Amino acid sequence: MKTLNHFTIFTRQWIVDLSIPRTNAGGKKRAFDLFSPLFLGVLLSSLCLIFAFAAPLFVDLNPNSISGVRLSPPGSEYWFGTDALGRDFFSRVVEAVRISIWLSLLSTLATAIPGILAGLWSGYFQGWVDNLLSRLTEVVLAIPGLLIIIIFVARFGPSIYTLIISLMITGFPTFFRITRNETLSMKQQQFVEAGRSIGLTDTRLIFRYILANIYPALLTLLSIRMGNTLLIISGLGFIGLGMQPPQAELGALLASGREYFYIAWWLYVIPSIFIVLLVLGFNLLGEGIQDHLRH
Amino acid sequence: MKGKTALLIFQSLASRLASILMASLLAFMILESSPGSVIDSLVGDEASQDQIATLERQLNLDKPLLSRYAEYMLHFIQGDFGTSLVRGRPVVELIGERFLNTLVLSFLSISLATFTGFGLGMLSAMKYQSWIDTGILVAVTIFLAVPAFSGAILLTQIFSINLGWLPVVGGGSVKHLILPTISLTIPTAAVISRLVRSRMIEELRQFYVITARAKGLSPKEIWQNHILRNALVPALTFIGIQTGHLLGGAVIIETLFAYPGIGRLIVQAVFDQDYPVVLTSVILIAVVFQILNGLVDILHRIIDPRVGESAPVS
Repeated sequence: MKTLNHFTIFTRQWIVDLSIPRTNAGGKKRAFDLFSPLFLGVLLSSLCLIFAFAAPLFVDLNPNSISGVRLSPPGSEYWFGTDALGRDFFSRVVEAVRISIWLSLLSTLATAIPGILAGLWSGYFQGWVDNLLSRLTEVVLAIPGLLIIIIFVARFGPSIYTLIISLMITGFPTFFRITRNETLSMKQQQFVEAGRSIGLTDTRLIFRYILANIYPALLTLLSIRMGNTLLIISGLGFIGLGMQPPQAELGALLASGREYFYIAWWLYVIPSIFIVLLVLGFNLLGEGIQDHLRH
Repeated sequence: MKGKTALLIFQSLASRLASILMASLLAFMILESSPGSVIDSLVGDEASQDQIATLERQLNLDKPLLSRYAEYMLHFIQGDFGTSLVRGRPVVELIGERFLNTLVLSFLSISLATFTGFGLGMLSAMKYQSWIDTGILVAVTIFLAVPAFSGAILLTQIFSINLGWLPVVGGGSVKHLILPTISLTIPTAAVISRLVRSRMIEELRQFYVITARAKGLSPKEIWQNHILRNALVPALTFIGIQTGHLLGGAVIIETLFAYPGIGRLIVQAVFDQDYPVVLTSVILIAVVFQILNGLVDILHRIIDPRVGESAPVS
């Protein structure tokens, strides 16, 4: 069965966009190339990572203790000011960035690993397992993803586990279908046939021959999915379906700062900037990997 | 040939219907598979076992899961969507207007996003590798990373609070629609413009462009008849899917603006464990989603007849 080759955008629109080589076809140097996506992506992501994971080593963080004055603006004592309850906002932001990164990472990996394995299996062996899984993913794709996530999280109560499981349900089809299609087209390549003819096992063919050739696409997908997941999680946090207080990820932090926009801009601006930086970092990283490994 | 097309269409319809049915079963199972039940939210902790049992019988909750699902679907097909368990009103009444509100919001923002996305993407591709292209690409890449709710808060602050031109929350008038529409438009337009740009650049490199030039077509004609047409295909697929996603995914923006849409109703109903409301909404959204994807498929075939030869109707 042939599938529409623009299928990839069906679920993750960026992949197609990325399939354009970013070479200098015209020989003209573009300004954007000076800051290549890979470099910017690595820079942004690692800055955020350092911020979230190294800050606790140097600064005493107490995100939940009510210390100073309420709504005090950013200054030398409180770098990011304090929130409406008088908690140190810098500590809260560091904590939130860390939680956001962990949550996105965990749920992306929990989605990607089964998705990729199932996709490899289905694309390589086909048969009834492939049929069943393809049908199942179609069912999941028949309902808008965010709707499934919201119903699931609201139904079983907001927690890390419900978040991750619901993101798994909705993200699995993307990884599965892309891996499956890539595997299918790789399987028809001559080098796989050659490998089989010299008597290599299926496992070796799958992991050393096929996976080794399709991993750039998967890494790209993984990185962009990270950004996407972070956006979804912060969206859920924003409407109160994410982590429960006093723990907060970036979306929830932003939501609590929303009412004070006029008198305390930093409560809205700082979490927003961090969401944008993180998502931008992951997206650029994905693009960079694609550019770097594919061309 | 005609019989084959009819068969393909029938297959497509059947598989879409099957997807909707399975999706509704999935939603049903998510809603019903947990120990908590609607009874708790109706009577509270003090109710006696007797009261609970009576209520269960009244609400038909004492039967097994699958038979309740079958019964529900039987009624559903006959146009009886049931009564809200919590609010006691027919589901149609509850959902009708709100679903319409969300439809209006989604279609407005998708149309706006299509126009701006195509405009920017085309401009970018026509001025490929110039500062205009770079500027648009950078802006679009950044906008892709801004969550819709964050942008929405900023817009509200500027247009509703500082300038006082637009209402902060609520629904019902055209003015109430403006900010939610724009908030949903921005990320969608960003994606569309990137899709259009990359597809157009890809098309520009094809040999047929040179052929077309050689046989004397003007650049304008090439852009209109070939490049724009080919760039439509991936954008259309995305637009079809995104409209469906907006129907269910506008929840966050709806909550932010207190817009009376279906998303907020669904979230509230899930919390109340009011499953007829949730199920009907989910099935409705799935149906619209599948209709849209079907339409996109058909349009796709009209725009690019090559598709019909190799690929099955999906």
